[in-house]
Amino acid sequence: MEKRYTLEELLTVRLAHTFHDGEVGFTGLATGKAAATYITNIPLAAMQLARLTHAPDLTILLAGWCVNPDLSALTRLPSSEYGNELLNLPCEAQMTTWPGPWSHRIGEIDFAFCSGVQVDPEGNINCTCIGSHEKPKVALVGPIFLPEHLAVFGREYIMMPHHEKRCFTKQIDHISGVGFPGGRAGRKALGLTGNGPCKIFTPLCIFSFDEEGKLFVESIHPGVSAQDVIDHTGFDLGDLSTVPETEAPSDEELALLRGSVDPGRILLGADEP
Amino acid sequence: MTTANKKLISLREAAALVPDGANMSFSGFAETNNPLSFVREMIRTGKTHLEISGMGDAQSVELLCGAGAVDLVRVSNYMAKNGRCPNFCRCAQQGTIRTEDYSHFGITNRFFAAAMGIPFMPVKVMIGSDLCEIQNFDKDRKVMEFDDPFSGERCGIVPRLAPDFAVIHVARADAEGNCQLYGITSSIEIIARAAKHVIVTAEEIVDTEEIRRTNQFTILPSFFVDYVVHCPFGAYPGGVFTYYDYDLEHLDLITRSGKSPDTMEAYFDEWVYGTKDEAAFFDKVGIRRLMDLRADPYSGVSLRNRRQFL
Repeated sequence: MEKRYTLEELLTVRLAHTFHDGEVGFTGLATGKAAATYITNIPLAAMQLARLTHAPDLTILLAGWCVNPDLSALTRLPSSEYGNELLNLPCEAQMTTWPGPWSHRIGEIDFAFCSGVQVDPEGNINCTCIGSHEKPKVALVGPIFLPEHLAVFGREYIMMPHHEKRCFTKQIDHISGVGFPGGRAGRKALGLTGNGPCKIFTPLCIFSFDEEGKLFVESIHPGVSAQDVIDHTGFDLGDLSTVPETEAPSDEELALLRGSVDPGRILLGADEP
Repeated sequence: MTTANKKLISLREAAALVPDGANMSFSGFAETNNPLSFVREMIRTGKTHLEISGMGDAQSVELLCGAGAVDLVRVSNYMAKNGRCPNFCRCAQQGTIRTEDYSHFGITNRFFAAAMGIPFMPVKVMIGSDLCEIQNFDKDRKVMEFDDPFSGERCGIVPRLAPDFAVIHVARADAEGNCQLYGITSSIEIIARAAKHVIVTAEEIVDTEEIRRTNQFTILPSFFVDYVVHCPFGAYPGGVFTYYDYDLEHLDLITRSGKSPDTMEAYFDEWVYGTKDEAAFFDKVGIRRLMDLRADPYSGVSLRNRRQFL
């Protein structure tokens, strides 16, 4: 089937629609191709698209410290969080003590993006270890800033580059970031001031969280069947027969994305749809 | 505090100040501002049983873990350019190091309490997660759930953490210990205030007159600093803003070598044990490589290193 757009463009445009004017959006700088595409590039492109359309006063906090960078000045992706090319990227402010304790007031960041190797149906995320903590089968990169993302940011988009059974599991090996243990009430009792996870974007579908804080499938991407989603998820998703298809981007949105947001195809890659 | 005229010492003297088993914190985040000359000297002189309290000082900790110098690591984020840090992860998986996990704000608030001289700090992170549930060598001294006595609001508290030594790489320092750095400083100010002893390694040693003339770049006044060491290219193979880029090839060499203890040992034999000091190390790196890494004053990056200009 011939497609007008890539998977990355589909996710970017859907994300952009969920941002509001005046919000502050945070994205870290991930390394490694799949992680970088999902945690850094798609969010950056989506925020810039929103700024060019319905949210001109949205603030982009790149890597937590680079405020409203001129993304069109990028000739290549920044390769290190404090690399010299990022320090020289035109922007409005650099928060020099990032990620120290006083770089942002709690409540200032409206939304952010994170990822991990495992997610459970309550939206808890693991990025610390596979296996037991005492003797891990695989030690990962450490909690990083994930606990903050899930605890104090307004809402969190979980960006999962791989939709596989081992990534979406009933029980995760380490709760590094807290979703809704014991539902929204359970989360509230912990005193966490952020609203926790709001959506999960994967190559197959978009998940959201219901009033109880339980994950459900909000939409399934064009060309993906409900059975594909079920087969690649390690816990029960219920009946998916009435789940709608993820809305495709319009020609105008694609033109803006390719012409203005990412003219050099730095963020979303050069692959043809 | 040490008096000014004794502060400027050699790298060997500075490394000798650190006893085995010391609790260390290093400057640097990602590939920038890591005091790697100091770290190599620690490895050459065979430090062991170290305790690390870090936020993102991955490059330093990765080398020290590879050299078997570390017992305990408080970790928030150890990420190499290509993902995981192989030496750190191997040691954690084999149980030769014990780890205690913190979030960025979790560990920096422990430093912050020490920096302020107060016993603990309230936090809004880690509670409800396994960072709170799993307490290893910091058991009962890590994070505790707590109700704010004023409002009743649920939060967590973390106790102060004062490392024995903070080792910090900066751009310029004078002999009295006034330190300058341009751009991002990350955890430098906080670990310098939290630590019991502060050792600074500097790209350049300048006159105090020069510091006075450009005082807006001074991030640490001298009274926070105990010792100063002149270490040009002291963050190599990492980088320093406006000085030089990180060396991707050498960082990759470390990551590749870290895949097994044998290849890592071979790396150390060739590059660290095989060079008697940092001068010999940089002779081996070669003047051509170092010159190619120098930052272009206008773009801030090395155009040669990035193959944008030959």
